[in-house]
Amino acid sequence: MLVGSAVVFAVVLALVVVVVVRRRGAATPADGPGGRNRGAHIFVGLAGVLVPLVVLAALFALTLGTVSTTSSAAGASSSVMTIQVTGRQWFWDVEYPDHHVRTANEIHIPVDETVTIVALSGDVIHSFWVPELNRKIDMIPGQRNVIRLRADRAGVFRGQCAEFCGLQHAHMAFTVVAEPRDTLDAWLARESQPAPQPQTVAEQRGQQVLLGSSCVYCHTIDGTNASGQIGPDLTHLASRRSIGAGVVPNTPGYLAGWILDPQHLKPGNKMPATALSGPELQDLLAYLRTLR
Amino acid sequence: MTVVDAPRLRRSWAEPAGLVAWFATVDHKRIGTRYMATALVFFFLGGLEAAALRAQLARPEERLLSPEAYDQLFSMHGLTMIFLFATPMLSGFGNYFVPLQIGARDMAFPKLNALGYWIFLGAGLFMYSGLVLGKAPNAGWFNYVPLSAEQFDSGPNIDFYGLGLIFLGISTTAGAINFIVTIAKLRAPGMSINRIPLFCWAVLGTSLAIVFAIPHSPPRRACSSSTACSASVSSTSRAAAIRCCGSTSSGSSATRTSTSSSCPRSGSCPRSSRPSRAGRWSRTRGWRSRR
Repeated sequence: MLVGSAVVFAVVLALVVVVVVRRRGAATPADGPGGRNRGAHIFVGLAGVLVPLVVLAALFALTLGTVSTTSSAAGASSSVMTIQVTGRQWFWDVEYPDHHVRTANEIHIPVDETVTIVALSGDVIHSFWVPELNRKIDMIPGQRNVIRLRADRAGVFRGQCAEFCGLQHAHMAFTVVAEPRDTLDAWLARESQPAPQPQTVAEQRGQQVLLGSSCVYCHTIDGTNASGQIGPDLTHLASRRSIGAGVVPNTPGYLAGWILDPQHLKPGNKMPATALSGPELQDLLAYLRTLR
Repeated sequence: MTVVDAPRLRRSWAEPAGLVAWFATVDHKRIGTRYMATALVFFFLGGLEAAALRAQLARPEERLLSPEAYDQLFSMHGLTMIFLFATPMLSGFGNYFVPLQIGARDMAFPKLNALGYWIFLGAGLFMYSGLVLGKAPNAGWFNYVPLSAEQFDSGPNIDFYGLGLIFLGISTTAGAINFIVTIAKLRAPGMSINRIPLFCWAVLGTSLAIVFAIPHSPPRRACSSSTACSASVSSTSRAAAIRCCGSTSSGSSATRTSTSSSCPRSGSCPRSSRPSRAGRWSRTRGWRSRR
């Protein structure tokens, strides 16, 4: 591509030099049909239409070849795992269909292995982007786009929605955690379990607070009656690094603030404020902390 | 043309003075200058918007603009720079220079020319009135659906976008027709079409593109995705969807579907309830019939 553009550039420059160097008035063909002007017309036709057509077609073919080899196409056998990511205003719904795992805003992948991301949208157009791992892929309602990720070192990589999707587009982040295979398998095994039963009295009261409030209309906690589909799955909430799709770290303090007034931390998101008394909130936090 | 005719010619082309005459002028140079001056004012406003956006982004967690204000400002910035600065600036240059370059007294349709300018000004003011009301377009200047559809953007914001662009489309189309006719018919004697200046060629090419693209596109432009589109100019399209689909419920469900098929094919719409002329502006019908 660079060579091609360099050649085109050089030829154009050479022609410009010819025009500049050529003595002014040396050749001003009389205008009109036929005569000396014919040659000029043919030259313009060839150099202005035919040559660009050929050059651009060649470069286009070259581009297509390069793009299809360097960017990830779907379906090859080298992928070890399929992860389905659904963009929603404004969080990421993450599912591992082969492992019965559902989480949000956090994607765990094995190091040095290729995984397939199926990018879907639940509402508007989003774009899945982990700058350190691959290019962007749009999440378009009704379409199923596929991209592959491969991390060659363990680590936490930040991802971000890259297509303007409304009020909290800027706060639609996620993390990709690349970890050794055995760590990942342990994580998958843990995440595929239903939520643990509450042990202490406080935790049990907390579970009752959750199940007795409006939380259940939007959130799912596997193993309980909560099975809402609007918000992120909370089955293993306590294992995640952030809340609100990367808005704040997942600490008890922020979690309490989020539950009482989500609109303060992330204005416009779908979660309404929940009025809880102090003890209720403490019990609820105690229960949510058990969701590892 | 002999020299003797000059005074008479000057008289008949003289511009009357006074306030009404100032508003009523059809002189291509004055209109061209107005295009450029107005475009510069919008350019300045777009720059102010950009400055506000950058100020918000200067520090992490800056609280200068609310998310809603930010969305409106960056949408207005984009559409200002494209539709209210770049395009009219070109119209301004064209108006000023094309008649001079081809040796014409004025544009072919001077009054249409003036009309185009005033519609452009009105469209710009209309869109900015949305900003004053705090209801400016807020789905980006591309205005992608489904984000700009009623389900996700129910306020009047997108109406300001859609109607403003329809006004601008009228203005641009009128201007383009004017340029084409002027260049085709009003060249000085002896100036064959292959001798017109390069700038006139550029204007002619752009105008032809505009005439073929813009009149069909206000609805399409108001909602840029060709696949998943049912509603972007929310209230107008809602009405159109209802008209097209026969009932409120099916109309709104069509509006709400965010996947690829957004409205029943026009074949399934009851023929009696299908709009005839009004339907030209309805996205739902417009694309189906044109695709």
